[in-house]
Amino acid sequence: MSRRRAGPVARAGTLFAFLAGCAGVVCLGACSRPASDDDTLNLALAASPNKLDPALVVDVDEGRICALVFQGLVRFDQSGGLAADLAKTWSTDEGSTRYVFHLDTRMKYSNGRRVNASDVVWSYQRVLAPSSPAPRPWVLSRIRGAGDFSRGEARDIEGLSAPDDSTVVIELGEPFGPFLSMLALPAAMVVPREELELPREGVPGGRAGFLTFPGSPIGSGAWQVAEWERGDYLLLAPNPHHPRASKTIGKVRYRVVPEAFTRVAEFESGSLDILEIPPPEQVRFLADGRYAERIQRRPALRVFYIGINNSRPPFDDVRVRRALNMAVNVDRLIEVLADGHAIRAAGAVPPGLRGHEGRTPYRYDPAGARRLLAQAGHPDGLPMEIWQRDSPEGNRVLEAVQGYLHEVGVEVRLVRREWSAFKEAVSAGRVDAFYLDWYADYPDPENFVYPLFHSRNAGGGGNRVFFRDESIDRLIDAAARLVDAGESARAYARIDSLVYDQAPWIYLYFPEVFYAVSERISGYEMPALYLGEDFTGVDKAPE
Amino acid sequence: MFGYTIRRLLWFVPILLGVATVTFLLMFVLPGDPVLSMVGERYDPETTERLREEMHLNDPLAVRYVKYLGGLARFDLGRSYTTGEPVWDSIRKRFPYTLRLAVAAMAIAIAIGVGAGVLAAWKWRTPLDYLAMGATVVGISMPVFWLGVLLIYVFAVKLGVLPASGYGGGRPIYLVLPAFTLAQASAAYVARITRSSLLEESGEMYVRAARAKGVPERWVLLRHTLRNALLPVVTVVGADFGSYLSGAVLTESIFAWPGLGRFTLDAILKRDLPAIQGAVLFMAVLFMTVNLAVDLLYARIDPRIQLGRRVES
Repeated sequence: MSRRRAGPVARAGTLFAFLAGCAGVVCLGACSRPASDDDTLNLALAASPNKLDPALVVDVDEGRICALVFQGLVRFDQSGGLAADLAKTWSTDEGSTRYVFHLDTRMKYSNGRRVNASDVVWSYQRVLAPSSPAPRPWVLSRIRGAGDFSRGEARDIEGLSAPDDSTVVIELGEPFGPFLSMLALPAAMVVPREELELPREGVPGGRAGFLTFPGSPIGSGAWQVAEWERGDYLLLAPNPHHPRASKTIGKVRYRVVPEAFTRVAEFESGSLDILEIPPPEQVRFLADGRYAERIQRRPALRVFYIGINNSRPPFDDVRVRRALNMAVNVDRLIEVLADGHAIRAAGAVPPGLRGHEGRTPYRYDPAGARRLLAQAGHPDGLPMEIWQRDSPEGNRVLEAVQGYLHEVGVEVRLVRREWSAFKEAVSAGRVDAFYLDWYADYPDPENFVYPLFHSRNAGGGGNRVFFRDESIDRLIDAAARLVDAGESARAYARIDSLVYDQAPWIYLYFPEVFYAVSERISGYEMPALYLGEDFTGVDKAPE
Repeated sequence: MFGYTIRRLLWFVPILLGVATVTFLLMFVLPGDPVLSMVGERYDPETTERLREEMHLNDPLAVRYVKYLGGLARFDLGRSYTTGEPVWDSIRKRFPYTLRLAVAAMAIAIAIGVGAGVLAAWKWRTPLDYLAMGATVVGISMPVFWLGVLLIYVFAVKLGVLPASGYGGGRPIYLVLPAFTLAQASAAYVARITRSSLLEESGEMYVRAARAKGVPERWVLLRHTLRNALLPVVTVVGADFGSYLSGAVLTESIFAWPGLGRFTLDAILKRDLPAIQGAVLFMAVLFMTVNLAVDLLYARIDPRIQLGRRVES
């Protein structure tokens, strides 16, 4: 009997000992911290790349990787200027509607095949094809005949040809100032046809005959994808066929680290080599003497704003919108919340882009705001909802804005939604106002003025405030045709002023972006645009 | 027991059908549009409409539901909108990460929890008991994200003895912080339940008989009382283990652990319907399996429990 009782007890004891042993093994593992790789550049991404097909990417992080793995005819350098990529040289005619690109014959995909002009034509057709799931056909839509081709009314794109293996000719319907810049975007990057396959039914493109990479992507950029564990990490290695392939860095490891605090901890513990410093940590990093020489900073080509739904009463009244701008002390917000590391926005075009103009912002004047509201028929103020997506920075800014607006009788209710629900409601014009920002995809004022304020883009096109002004539409269309930099700068500065006067947003600020770079890293320069990242000249000292 | 197991397994089918239906319908009630997650911040209506067609999102609800159930009947969870991968492949890749973390966390929770509970019961109403129970209150009250951040700061940033985050190619050192973070609340509950169960059992006749026979107190506790006191512990451990297997979203996010929790969260944020539905179904299967295992374990631990039979009073 005693033996029968002892059995389960012994089993329980054994189980307990086993579990304790497991815990012990886990702890013992702590004694064997792995050595870091001296030739690996360790970086972090906030979100896992889901697809690395340049025709399909829309996220910043996916675009960043594509710019390393693929090539366009041109690319952005670290300062945001245009540099040769697949095209060694290019020329335009006098009317700036005909571009001739001469390809660099040294360029090869990582599978060893040389890139030729017909690859460029095929890659552009793939994006513009009827029923293509590529979400950004607008990147190439200025090419003559692109519309007919997309609608299935033409077999080829009339303005796109490859007269020989190393020449690409592109003709536009009319001059378009930012066209060359747009050729550096992922949607205009070139892919090897032989590496693509039809996706299965049910996946976007499956029924449309759209070919995509069955596994890791193959491009002709300076880096190739060596390993890709979705949700965990992405490992890049130099493309041995590329003339600028890195001789000093053997691997670039992007780890997916969703939490900002964790990314900072990884950098401070030496596991990351370069860190984009999250806004709440910027003050601490700047005050820390250890990083004094290791911080790079640059005004971001980005603007933060509170969009006001211009089509929705009472916000369709410009007096109400101006009053809202006058009610918020933006200078104080910048001083307190960003510790002064931002530039007040008095327009949408950020500093660093032609067309940016240092105009006088709306004066903080709560009494004047109350008077304007009274003139507009709201002497007792008005209620208002401001929508935001989840972000700690957004909370801090909007709570302060809520306080300022309360002072002038505008009672703000903050509505927080995750990105998908936020975007759906805001793009459909179902909200009074929303807090958002806009990044430059390409360094041109057109990238801010046209999508954000042209009535053609009302809703999902970028103009989520439903700002509509025919005279301004005409000015925007005319400015896009200007190819002279000086003329274009003046035109966009004027448009930005006219729009600012209409107060379609509560204009907030242009942020600064800060990178911390490990002392082991040399030769790295933070890019002006996320697509301008380039590690080919970077070196890493041994530990 | 075999018959009972088969009956319980058969119940999986209607339950899963219910879960699948509720998840499918919920996706239509929730705000958000999967197409808008795919097109970035600048898009035109023609593109979104084309994608909706491609993804069959314009099909009538009933048609989509029948197609979905048809896929499930063939064990096909569909393909992710965002990655294009079969959902089952994604779950199969991500689940081992979660399983590894869940097993480690559970082992730590049981080792610490049962150990602390036994110690507290053995040293009842002594400073050691008060200390252990005080620690459990702290453990239960401490939010996971706060503890995780604290552990990273102390052990990775300040002391530099443990990695801050990541899977680290499976090296055990990378498990330490996330597993302890995930385990702390369970360990605290297990300790409290172990202690109270042991104290409750210690007044039973069989325990008093053992004491009367002159068995030393520590043997009374470990050999006689502990076994019977384990039953409520198994319940808590089973429930927690089931939830850990479904992915610990907070812990996985803080520690950049590429498990099922983060996969599901990403899918929800992107409105990746096939991935959400697949993940929820998989979690339901896990939960039911763990519950079944716990019920079977009851019978092993306490032979008085007869599974599947109604007790007549």
